[in-house]
Amino acid sequence: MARDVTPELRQLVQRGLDHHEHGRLHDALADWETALKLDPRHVQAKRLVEFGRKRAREIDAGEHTAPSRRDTLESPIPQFLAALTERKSDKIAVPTGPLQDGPTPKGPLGESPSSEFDWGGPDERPSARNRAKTVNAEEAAVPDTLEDLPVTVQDILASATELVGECRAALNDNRAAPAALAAELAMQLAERAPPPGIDDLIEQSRALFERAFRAFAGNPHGCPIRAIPTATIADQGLDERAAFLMSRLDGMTSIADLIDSSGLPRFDAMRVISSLRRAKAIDLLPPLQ
Amino acid sequence: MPERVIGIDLGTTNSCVAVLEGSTPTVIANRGGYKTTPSVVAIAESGKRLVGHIAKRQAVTNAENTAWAVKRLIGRPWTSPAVQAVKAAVPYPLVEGPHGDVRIRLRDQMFSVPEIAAYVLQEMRAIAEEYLGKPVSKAVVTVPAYFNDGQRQATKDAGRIAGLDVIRIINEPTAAALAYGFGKKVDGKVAVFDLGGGTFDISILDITNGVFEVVATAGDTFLGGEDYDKRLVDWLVQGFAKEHKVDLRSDTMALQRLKDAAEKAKCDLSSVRETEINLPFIISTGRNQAYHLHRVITRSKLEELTLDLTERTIQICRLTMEDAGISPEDLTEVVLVGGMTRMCKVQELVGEFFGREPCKGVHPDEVVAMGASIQGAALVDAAAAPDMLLLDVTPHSLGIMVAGGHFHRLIERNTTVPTAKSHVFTTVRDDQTSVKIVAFQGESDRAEENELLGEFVLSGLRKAAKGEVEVEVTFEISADGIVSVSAQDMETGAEQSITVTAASSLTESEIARMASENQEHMVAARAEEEVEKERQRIEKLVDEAETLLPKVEEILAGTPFGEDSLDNVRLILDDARMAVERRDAGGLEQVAEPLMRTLNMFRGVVDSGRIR
Repeated sequence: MARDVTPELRQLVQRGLDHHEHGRLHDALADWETALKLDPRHVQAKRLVEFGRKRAREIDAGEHTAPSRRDTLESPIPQFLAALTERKSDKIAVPTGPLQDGPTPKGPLGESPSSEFDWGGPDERPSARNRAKTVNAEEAAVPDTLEDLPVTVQDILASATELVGECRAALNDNRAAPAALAAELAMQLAERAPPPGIDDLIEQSRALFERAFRAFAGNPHGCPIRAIPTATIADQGLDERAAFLMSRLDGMTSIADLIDSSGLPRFDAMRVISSLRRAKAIDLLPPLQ
Repeated sequence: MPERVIGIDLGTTNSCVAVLEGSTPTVIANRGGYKTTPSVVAIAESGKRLVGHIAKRQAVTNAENTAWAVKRLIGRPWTSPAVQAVKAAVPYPLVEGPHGDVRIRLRDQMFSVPEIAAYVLQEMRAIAEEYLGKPVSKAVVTVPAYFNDGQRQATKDAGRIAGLDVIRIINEPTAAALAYGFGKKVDGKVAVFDLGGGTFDISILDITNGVFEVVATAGDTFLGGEDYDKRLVDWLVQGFAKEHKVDLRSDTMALQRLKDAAEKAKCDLSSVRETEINLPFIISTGRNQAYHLHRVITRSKLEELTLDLTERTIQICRLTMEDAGISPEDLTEVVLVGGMTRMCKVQELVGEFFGREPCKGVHPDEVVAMGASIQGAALVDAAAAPDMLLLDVTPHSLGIMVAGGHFHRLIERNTTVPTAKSHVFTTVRDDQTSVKIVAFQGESDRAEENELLGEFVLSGLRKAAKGEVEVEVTFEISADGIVSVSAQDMETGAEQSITVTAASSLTESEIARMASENQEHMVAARAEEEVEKERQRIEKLVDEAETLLPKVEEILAGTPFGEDSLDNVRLILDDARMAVERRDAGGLEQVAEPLMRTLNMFRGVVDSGRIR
């Protein structure tokens, strides 16, 4: 019987994936290419090599998808929500300052200069520059709940309603990024300090939000791999559910299968994947043929 | 060329499929590149059926809707101790079925055990079909040597539900021995030590002139690789609790990751002396404060944690050999089967006990499927496996209950199959007009201490003094080990017979219904795949058209072609984008042609623009 190359091959594929998530594309590609030489029929190695070569070409060619006006949120993030999300432990992967190219915010949204943040296309190479801005843990104390802020129930409901409207409008306009962001923010509002009446609004909008998350997550048959180390995602405001989903990624499991095999409620899984995309924590390989 | 027959090792935790290519058995890898596929079936929240790796990966987080190790249940009646033991050990709900059989409830749908097994068989079939590039309808499926008739029948039923004609059921140790070329090259006593993911079996085969006799078989259906994984998980959980005061078992996602990592580490330690277990952000403390798990484990630590498990397998070997009156010196070979026999400690202890270096192929978890594929090819094409005379034996004695509750054997254990034996019985009472034939299998002289196979009544006998009327009882065992019993009134020729189906098996109509439902499910799944393919194709076209649109607009600006036509084209693109997003099969079909025309027009315009 022939020599068993399986353990060696798997180790190479895995080491390549580790290199890739730490931003060492060329090392990753070298490992994947060695793996493919061991077994030229190995589907996973083949796909990763194709992905790695394409990505390397893009980088060499200096290709960069400029943030598009289409990908920004029309309305500003509600001030009180921005304030809440600044606390390190509760951060969500959203910009904490004014959005690039967006209209003038209605009120001051904090001083942090996060205008570099963009909502580039889903297949962009993540970089320090375009990842979600994170806030230093030692920054000023921020309130725990909405009750600690000078904000009325009407303000919150008005904001939530506005976000639902924005989500719908963006979806109708095929702008998945702002649609998913609006949905995420509305969910945050409902979860953080739900005023009476918001549950109904959110409940009615769940199907809409799910569509937004799905649209932004990308092709459901695309197969993600990690683009940043899992250990760092807490800094991006992501939780252990996101870490769990990241642990399942191998470039062979499609988003649809990932959701089915997550054991998480569908809506939640979709929302987490959408957040991972926004945080540029994952890259997407094409569907398996 | 006759149709290819695949060999399937339908395992408790993993299954494997092989086909004979030329004269070489080839194990077929699944899409993920794995040559074994977990025997796990789950129903996702979306209602989708998950089989194999994808099902295994969510087995902890979706525990109630994930069926695994159903082989421990197949063909067993609800009341059997084995079923009750499984019931206590698994998180998925088991309920009693309409025939005193076992049913599994997954997301409010009821499944028989053969149905779940069928989904695994179907997956193996699909893997083979993808590799061979053509449909496969025939298979040889392996079962443990101790499987009784009901369990073998239920395995065949599973094949039928999966749309597979199981042309032969063979014993796993026999298949393993075949894969090693025994029967051709080796005669003598062979020990097959099979430590898989969920079960341990030791079988002693006596191979003479191509006849494989199972002289002794024993094992533990609750001892396998998963128990080794559990020890490793426990060690990790305890270490983490000590360090961080956090119980990882409280979180199903953490536990799922631990299980996956433990299994991987265990496998790695068969080839390296030390490995890292690295699980970043495995749990948080409410406010996203991430805890990471990072530990190094050595091979010797794993061996220490699991030594009693390995020793238990040796203990079972010792008892089995003693019972059978066989000593290690009587053996010609010792064969290792099952993924767990890759573990160095297992090999070491087996070698010590048997006093010889065991035969180990490169892939101990693939040899059973390889053997099954050799048998499959031989069955349809004698030329494929010349000189192969492959005969299995019945593992139990078969007979009926006679006056006084005694067990009258018609077929002795270890008789080569197929076989048929008859015996003439007489009435035991005056004017007795009917006889009840109660068939058993087992080795006890007391009928009731053996396993009941079935019973039927032959009536209409002539009234006469006891001992005058003669009834001939015939037991027949097919090559698959399926038993039928018949009784014939020697005077009138009137006959009654049964094919023994254990009380736990499915009816013909149930099997037919399940097979057709399964077929419908597959057709629907395939249709869905087709829609998805078309959706992806249309999406690519839309992307290209949208990329070209600004250029087209620029070139056509101010030409007689005009805004109206462009508006029309934009509508087509909008419709197409909508159909893509909604996965609307009808919409996709409608837009396909106008979209293609639009794109061709765009390409033409852009090209002509370039020329000018």
